[in-house]
Amino acid sequence: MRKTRLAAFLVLAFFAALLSGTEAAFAAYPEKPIEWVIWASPGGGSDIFVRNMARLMEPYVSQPFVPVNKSGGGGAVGMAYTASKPADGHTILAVTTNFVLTPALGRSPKGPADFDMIARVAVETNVVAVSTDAPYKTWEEFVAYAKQKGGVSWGTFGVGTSDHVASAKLSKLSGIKSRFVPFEGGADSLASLMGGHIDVLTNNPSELTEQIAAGQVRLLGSFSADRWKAFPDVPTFKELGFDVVVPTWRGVVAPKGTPKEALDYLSSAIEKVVAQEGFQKYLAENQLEAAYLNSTDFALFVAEQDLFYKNELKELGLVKKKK
Amino acid sequence: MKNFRYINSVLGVCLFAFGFLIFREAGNYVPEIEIDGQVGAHAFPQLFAVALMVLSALMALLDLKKLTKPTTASFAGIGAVAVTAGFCYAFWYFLPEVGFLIMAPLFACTVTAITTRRFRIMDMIPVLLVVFAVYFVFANLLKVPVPAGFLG
Amino acid sequence: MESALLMLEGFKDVVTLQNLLSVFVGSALGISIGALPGLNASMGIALLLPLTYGMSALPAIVMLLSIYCGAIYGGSITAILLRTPGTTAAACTVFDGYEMAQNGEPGRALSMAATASFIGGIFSVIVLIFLSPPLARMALMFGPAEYFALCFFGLSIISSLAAENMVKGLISAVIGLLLGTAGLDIVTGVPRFTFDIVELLNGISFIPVLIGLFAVSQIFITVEKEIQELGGVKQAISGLTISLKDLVSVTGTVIRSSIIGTLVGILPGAGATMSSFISYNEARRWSKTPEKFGKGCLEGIAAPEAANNAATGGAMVPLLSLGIPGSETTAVLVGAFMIQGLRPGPLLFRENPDLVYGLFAGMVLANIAFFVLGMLGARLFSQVTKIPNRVLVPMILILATIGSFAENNSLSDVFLMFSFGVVGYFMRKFEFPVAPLVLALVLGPMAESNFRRGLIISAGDWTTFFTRPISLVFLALGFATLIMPFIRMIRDHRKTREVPPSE
Repeated sequence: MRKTRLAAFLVLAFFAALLSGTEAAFAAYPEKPIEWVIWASPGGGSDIFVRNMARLMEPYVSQPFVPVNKSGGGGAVGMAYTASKPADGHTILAVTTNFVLTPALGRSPKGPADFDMIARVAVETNVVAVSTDAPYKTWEEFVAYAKQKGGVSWGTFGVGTSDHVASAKLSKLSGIKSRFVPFEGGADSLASLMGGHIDVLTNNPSELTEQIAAGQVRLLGSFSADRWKAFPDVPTFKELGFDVVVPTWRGVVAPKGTPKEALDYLSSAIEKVVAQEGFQKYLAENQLEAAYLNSTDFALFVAEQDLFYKNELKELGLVKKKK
Repeated sequence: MKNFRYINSVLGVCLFAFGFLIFREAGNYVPEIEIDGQVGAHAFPQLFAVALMVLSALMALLDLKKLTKPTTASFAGIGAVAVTAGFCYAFWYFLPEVGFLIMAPLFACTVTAITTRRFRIMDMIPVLLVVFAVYFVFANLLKVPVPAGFLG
Repeated sequence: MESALLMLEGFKDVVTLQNLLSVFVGSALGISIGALPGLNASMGIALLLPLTYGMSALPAIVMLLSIYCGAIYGGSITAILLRTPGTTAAACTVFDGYEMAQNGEPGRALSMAATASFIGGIFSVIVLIFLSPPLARMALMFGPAEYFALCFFGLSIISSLAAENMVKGLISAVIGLLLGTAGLDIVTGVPRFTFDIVELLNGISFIPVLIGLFAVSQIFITVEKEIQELGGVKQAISGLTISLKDLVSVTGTVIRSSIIGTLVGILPGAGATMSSFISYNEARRWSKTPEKFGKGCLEGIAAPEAANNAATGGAMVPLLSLGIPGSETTAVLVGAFMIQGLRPGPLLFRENPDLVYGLFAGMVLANIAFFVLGMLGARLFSQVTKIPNRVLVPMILILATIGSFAENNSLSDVFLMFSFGVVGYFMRKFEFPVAPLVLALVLGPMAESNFRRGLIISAGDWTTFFTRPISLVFLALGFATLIMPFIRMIRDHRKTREVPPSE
């Protein structure tokens, strides 16, 4: 008797939940807190980025954001989780260049095709850094040193990352024989560079600012299209005569099929935040440059980046040609 | 209940087979690019698998020759352990749909009932207090999204 | 003694009501976070960071440092009382801490942990204040080859952890090493043992394995005993705190462990967990009564606790003198500094010396704060061992579930945790020691990636590990540690043969 009553209650509760779900589609968006998925663990670059944005976006969005960390597999875990959520605009995902790279390397079951783009927020760059104790001061000197030595050890962050793609292309174009040393994090790679264990390192400049200012690390060049605002003296590799522009960026996406109103609603909120002074300051401190693109333009951009990185990975032999 | 004398030998053979399977599996880990002076992704797993095979063979041999003491562990209570473990997995399985706030007290009561073979509501009060305190701390203060199920 | 003067200034800056309040609040929060399984210091700081948004620089950073120090200490509380290490750094404290608590002396174990943590922490802050620059230079001498050698040295402890049943201990270690290889291979990007499961790409999460092997397996054993009514009466609680005599007896161990903890903590990437294992082994090596380790001896608690808290000051050395965060936690701290518009590094000393010395003073206070709270709390926490099993068992299972969920917000980690509970249960039944597996799982991946990195740098030249002096020293130490138990075994064997059988 008691059991049937419990079962009846559960069934009722289930239908109640279902009903409230269908109602949601007609209510004004957003009608409940928005889950913001971060594919890094608390404290990582992406985590701080999202938590900052969520805080600044609150005045423009009628519901609070709930940051959720789903780290692992170069973003694969976060993508799989987000794509499995209902496409009602109440789950969004912060992405980086890995959004195209990880799927292109065949390491993620979900990729850009499973998402609708909301907005691009900012662009980043990778720079080539050497220790100030090293005998070479410019890229040309470095190339000469590398050729004379017969090869150099070059720190990157794993195989098939944007910094690896850029470094491999650059060293191929300049005819250097490089041995790429994959590191897990910024700290141990930097310590290895400053201790003279590796010859050169490609990294995001935000992890190097302090050492550059203290005169322990010198930048030889940047992979950005134009000179980076924070380091106007550092040439781009394009200027130096090598056609290696490898952009990296940050944006926000939602599961495929999210209503257009929801995408535009969030996109315009992001646009307002990006223009804010407080956010600009945060971007500058973290070596990011504001580069807002709306939903439609970001989708085109992602498609173009997807093609670009797939080609680069094929060139490097990281993706089998037949794919 | 007395144990089978050669249970360690059986275990050794099983672990040896496991090591062999791992060795085979690790052989597939061929990277798509060559790196100078590299030992490859398969090297370490295969090395460890070989070590496992050698050690488990050694364990089985020592046991067969009666050079090591037999295991004296008693498995009389394994039924209760199996039931508890079963409830743990059931808890895990239903957690996402039913939600923590319903599932955790249910699970806690069941486990207490198993361990004591009776059910006293007085025992449950501190347990429930802790469950709700933990839920509150994680969900509200630390913003860890505890599975809410259909209540959320 | 310019630094001593600046230090005094620093104390003057820190001793304000707001700062003292943030130290105590931070310590209390830190201890709770550390004690909760699954939440470690770095997550704690990241999650509590918003609390400091409205504060000015010094109180904000002092509060976060208090959380850091408190969390590293707090991990020992649940390790001792519930066999559930609250943080990975406290894994080693389980061995003797839980045994001592079960012997009816939880108060003694808890106050030993608090005292050792306090001494280790204070020692490391003193080193941080006076010896940072030369030690930071030392840290830079460690490249991948040296890290491999250090990991090898750390791993060599396995043979003495396994000494009682060598073959089974080594099997346990090898399984730990194999588990450590799962996930995306960092060097080549090949997924290993992932079987197309997305959650496995990042490897096997450590916290769920730890909680499963230690806490959940203990639950199964308790359930088994309860059902057979073997639970018996709980030991009456005696030994509420440590005596002066206890303290004197562990002095050597605490000092040695503090030094090891600080030095290992300085190395970027090595950290508190590794230092606690190395200290534990060194304590046993130097002990007059090594056979008591693992059965509830004070030195076995003092060594890892002094070491893991000494690693807190150590980790700050490369952060403040090189701008390199030496651990996950200090990486999170960088974010906290940046919110205050500061960048930790050599320039901070030049541009903001008063803040740096205020920070040092704050760290000293943080260590005092968790010590006071820990000693006051020891008596209260001890009561946990009085709780009957029928109440304790479901509580621990719920805590374990939520703790393993919290790290990655992942239910698959909960599954992993329960599974390792089952594995741990059978391991204990068949007398496989758990400690070697845990150590191998921590150090194995570090050893492998650094070995392969070292080989890439040397262009495939294997001699690189033997021609570099630091690397050679650690490899030699490692080999010595590795074969020591075997030599002892042979010697004991001979002795027993030489003695004629008694009538």
